[in-house]
Amino acid sequence: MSKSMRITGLEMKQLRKSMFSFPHGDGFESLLRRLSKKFIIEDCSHEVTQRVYYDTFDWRLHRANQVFSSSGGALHLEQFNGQGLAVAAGRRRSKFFWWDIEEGELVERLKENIEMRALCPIIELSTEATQFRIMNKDRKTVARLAVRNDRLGEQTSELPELIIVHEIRGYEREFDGIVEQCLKRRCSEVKNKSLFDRLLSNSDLTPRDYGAKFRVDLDQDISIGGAVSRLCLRLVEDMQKNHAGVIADIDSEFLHDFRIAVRRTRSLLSLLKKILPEAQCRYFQEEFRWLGTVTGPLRDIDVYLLEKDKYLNMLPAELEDGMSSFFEQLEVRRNGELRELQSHLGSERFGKLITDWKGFLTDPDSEIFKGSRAQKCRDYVDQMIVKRFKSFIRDGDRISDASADEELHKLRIKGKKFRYLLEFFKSFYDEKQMSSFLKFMKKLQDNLGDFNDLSVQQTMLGAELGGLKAKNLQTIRFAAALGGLIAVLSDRHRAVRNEFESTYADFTGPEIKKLLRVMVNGSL
Amino acid sequence: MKTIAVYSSKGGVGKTATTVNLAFTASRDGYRVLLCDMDSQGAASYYYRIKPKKKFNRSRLLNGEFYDFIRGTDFPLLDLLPAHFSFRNLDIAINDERKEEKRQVLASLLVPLADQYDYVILDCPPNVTVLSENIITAADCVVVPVVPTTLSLLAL
Repeated sequence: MSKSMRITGLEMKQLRKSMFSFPHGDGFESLLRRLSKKFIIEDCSHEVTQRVYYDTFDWRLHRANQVFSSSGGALHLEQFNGQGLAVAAGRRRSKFFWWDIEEGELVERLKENIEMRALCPIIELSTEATQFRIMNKDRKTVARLAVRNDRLGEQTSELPELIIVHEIRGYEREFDGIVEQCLKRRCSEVKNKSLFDRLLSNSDLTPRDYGAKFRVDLDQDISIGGAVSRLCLRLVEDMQKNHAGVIADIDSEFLHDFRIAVRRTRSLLSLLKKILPEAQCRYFQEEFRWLGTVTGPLRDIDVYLLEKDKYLNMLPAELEDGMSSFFEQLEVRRNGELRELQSHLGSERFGKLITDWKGFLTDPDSEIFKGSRAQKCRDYVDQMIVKRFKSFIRDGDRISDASADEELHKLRIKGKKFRYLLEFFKSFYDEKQMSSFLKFMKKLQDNLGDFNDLSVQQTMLGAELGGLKAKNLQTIRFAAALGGLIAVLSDRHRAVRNEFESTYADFTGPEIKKLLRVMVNGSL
Repeated sequence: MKTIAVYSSKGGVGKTATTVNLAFTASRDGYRVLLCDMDSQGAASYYYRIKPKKKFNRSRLLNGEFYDFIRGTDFPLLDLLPAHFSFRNLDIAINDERKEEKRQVLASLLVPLADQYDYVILDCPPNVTVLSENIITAADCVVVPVVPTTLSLLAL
């Protein structure tokens, strides 16, 4: 033995797996006949399984390259390549939230990806699978072979038969020989594709067709009318995609995304109201304001319910009971608000708004494409960006420690409109520069947003407290909990206000002004 | 990773039977297991119908070049490092090592396996040599099968 014994870092080879798609016919039988000349082949199991695959509406698990499924009384979380990540007990359901699943590793992995979104069925699969052992003359297994016949949902036809050859460690030559025989038959190797990808490509689903950040690519030469049409059609598409989820109350984020699309639409109408046709603009502003208003109450309640654990954790244990009844009442109120909203979104008024709006945006004779709206959009937007930035800075510079909270709220609204303006038209500008600018802006917006949220929460909880009548011990406990919560929120409110000055200074430094100047070609 | 040695200086007490069944049971329960057949008789290898590849030998084992010679068994999650006839002089080869490292040889060879397996189970030859010392040093746990006879108990 060598005196200088080498212990190398372990580089054990990954076991290989090859998949082949066989058209229906006798391709597989011919393969078995050929293999049986060299090996002993034994079928060791045959089973029919049902499996349901789930993901969120915005494909959060697919974006994380993960697959969640339910089969045989168990829930599985895997990577795309089939490697298991976690398993938990659980039966098939119409939808899952992470809190519906027993605690354990699967939940810990799941919740960081899906958060408050529901996992809904996307593919139902029925699989007939036969496993074969490929053995040498000593009856030692030297490879495994599986044959799968998959059927999706209600489809009557099966997917092409799939043969999967699994390598056994130490039997590389045998694996290579079997793969060679497969390649000689009328089949195609299924490369670089997970089994799940194969199912998706044979379904009518388009993965990740929803959920990416808002972006509409506009030509540099597009007219104002053309740009507004493209942007707003994308936004109305978002509303329509989320509409069914809101009505069915699948999860809170359908309404959240619906409202974002409405808010963006209103913002664009407001930003361009001086150049859009006055009568139509006024009509649509009014109707989208109505839509924003009727969707507000349910969303407000959802925000509190989503923060329930956070609020309870802010309080000492002896006050938690008092707060719990508040949330129970909120749930009851929520049911009423949901019915109200379902009625609005199923109303003639809503239907007419969408029809009229789409007509306005797409009819070639529409006023949106005429007059001053025919001019080049980029030039107009450049001027708007400069003007709005200067206005934002002017208002921001006036804010001091003595300024009322209302001034910060106004600045937040102005900042939001400015940010929407940049996001709508970001395709006109250099991507890196815009991304950098928006990153700076986000920090300031987050500060102003937190400040506003804390103000709203204190006001709402204060109103609850003010409306209480001391009837019994439970009411007193509830009042104490509200008081405790308001105190904590007030502290945080003060802290966030104190952070405003430095955050604002970061945003309005010379670096930012230079960046903006470069972006809009030196107009600043 | 835990290393379990099934050892007795007495032959015929059921070391191999214990080893092969322990390894199978652990793999069936979902653990990744490597069974190392350290006995040149190769009984554990025979049970699992595994023969060593032609190029495998004692030197490759002691030089840490044995990973490519591990073979999968018929059972998922259970691999086996087969014995080789050259293992009959493993203790002599180990004795050539420097005195202070002599008992650590096997333990050092198993360290790189920690990420690959949950259990390494060693089927040991029935003797008392420096190889036995290595096995006991490397093991987190030593299982000693005992047939309830006087001589078996003596061997303990």
